[in-house]
Amino acid sequence: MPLELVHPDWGLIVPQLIIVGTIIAILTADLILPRDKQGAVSWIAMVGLVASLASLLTIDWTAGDTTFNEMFRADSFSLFINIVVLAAGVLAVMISSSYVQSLEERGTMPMPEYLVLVMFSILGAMIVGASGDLLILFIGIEMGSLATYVLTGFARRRMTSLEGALKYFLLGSFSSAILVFGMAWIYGTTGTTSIPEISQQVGTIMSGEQFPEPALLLALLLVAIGLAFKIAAVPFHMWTPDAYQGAPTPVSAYMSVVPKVAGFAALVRVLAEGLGPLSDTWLLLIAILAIITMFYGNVVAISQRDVKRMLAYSSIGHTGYILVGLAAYSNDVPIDMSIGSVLFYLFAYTFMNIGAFAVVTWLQHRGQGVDLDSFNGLGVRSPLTALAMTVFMFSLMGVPPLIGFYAKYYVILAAIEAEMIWLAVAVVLASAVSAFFYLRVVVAMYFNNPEGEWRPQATPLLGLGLLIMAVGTVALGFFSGPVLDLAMNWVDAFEV
Amino acid sequence: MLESYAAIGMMISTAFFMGGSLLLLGWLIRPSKPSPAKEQPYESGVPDVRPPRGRYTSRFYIVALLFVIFDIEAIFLFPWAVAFDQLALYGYIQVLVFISLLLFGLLYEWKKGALEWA
Repeated sequence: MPLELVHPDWGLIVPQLIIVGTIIAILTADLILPRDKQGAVSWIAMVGLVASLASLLTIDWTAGDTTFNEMFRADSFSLFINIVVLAAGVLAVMISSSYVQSLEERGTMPMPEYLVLVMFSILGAMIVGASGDLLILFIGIEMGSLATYVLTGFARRRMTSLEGALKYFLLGSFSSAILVFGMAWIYGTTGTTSIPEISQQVGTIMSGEQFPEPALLLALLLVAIGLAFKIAAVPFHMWTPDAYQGAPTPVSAYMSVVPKVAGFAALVRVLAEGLGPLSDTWLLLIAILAIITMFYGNVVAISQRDVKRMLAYSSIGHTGYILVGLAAYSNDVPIDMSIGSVLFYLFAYTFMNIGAFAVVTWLQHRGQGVDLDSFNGLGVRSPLTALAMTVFMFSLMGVPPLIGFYAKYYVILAAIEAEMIWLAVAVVLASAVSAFFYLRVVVAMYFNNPEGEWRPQATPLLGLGLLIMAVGTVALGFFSGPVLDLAMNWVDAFEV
Repeated sequence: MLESYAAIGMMISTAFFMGGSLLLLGWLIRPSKPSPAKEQPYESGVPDVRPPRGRYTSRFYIVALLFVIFDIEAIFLFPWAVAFDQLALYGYIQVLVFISLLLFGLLYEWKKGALEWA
């Protein structure tokens, strides 16, 4: 008698399957192509990423279908995470292909291996976004993290790269252990790893109780700490500056976005959805974490001369802003801004932050370093690039009508709707502090004289990537409505 | 409730008692006359030629990695073989996909020279 096999709905995981196929195609190309033609693999990666983006259209995301025994979900939340991650992937490949082939790390960074690692990391983030079960969530996080550790140390002849990778790896695996421990406590208390069932169980446990179950509090704390490491929230940010500074610049651009998106997706899935009934407890925790993170990141960034390190601290600051959106989550009101503003912020952050790192990459191609002085006189040397960097800096600062302004606006709006005025005020104050170090780059570009040698070089793909990100930062600011509507669909995904 | 753990508790204390008493007995009655030759690590009776914490080639690591991959293949293939007639065509195709992925991995490492012992 044949077994009753449950056939998974393969149609729902087409975007992920395309990425897997692309990885195999890149590995095959690595075997077939001669060493000097391996630059072509970046086109394979681009085609795969764009095909995966296009395949998102084939799925009906509003239905909220699940497959693999509800472990994998195709809902509006995972759609948005997929869009952000895949867009970040396309941009990262665009800005990195010339760097990997031609810069000082020439020969030590094989292009196909680099792209395979990037694709695995993207796949991991997509799986986190679509996870309906703690196990799948953890597999996705680890798949993304392991690839990113290796990418950080990819310039393997440079000590700073190795140092950053080692710090990232040790602290990252330590935080994974804490995360799993928290998941074990959740399982121990609720008897399930399925996120919707956890929500039900926690609701049952919480009903009629004055105080939450201590075991649940411990689980909540451990999971929150484990994920705070992944998104680089203060005081779990120690690895961030060294890893971002040491990594090859395109990798810094990539890992300041995709692993962070994966971390936030996991945080939303576990806290807002799984432990939603416990929200009274964790909202304050997240709010405090948000305030410490945004002030620490922005204040410490002021004293940095190294632009990559400055951007690392600025990305810590942005983690704080995004956490404000999560802290505004409310279990009672079904339609609120909170998670929508988190998603919108992640989308905006992708464009402006990868853009800022891309300009640093662009300068490195022209014989410049990564300190603030390399930006001197860029407005004379290359007005267009200087203009792009100005757009990114203003957007990161939150100047209207750029996309960064709307991202902060929605986060602040969410905080006000949740009646957390003090949190909204903190965001505004931290942004005011951040203006100092963002504007300093702009001042260096336009008011200082050019110095140092200048090696003109053609980098068409990097230039195109810069153009897309600069135009996107401006245009998506003007037309932020549709993106916000898409982000607000998360309400359908969560059965609050 | 607590009584059901009594057997386990007795088991653990017996184990500790036996192990501990044997160690104590040995420590009490054995002669202790250390000499430099006795302190050396034992290496099949041959005088040791290298420091024990020396570096060894990482080729062993690649071999171990390859072994793990094919070990996992075997672990998945055994249950499939046992339930072959029940899993029918669908299971057969799935295993083919699985094996072809591993076969690709084998080709990759062959072409990359991981199987050369040079």
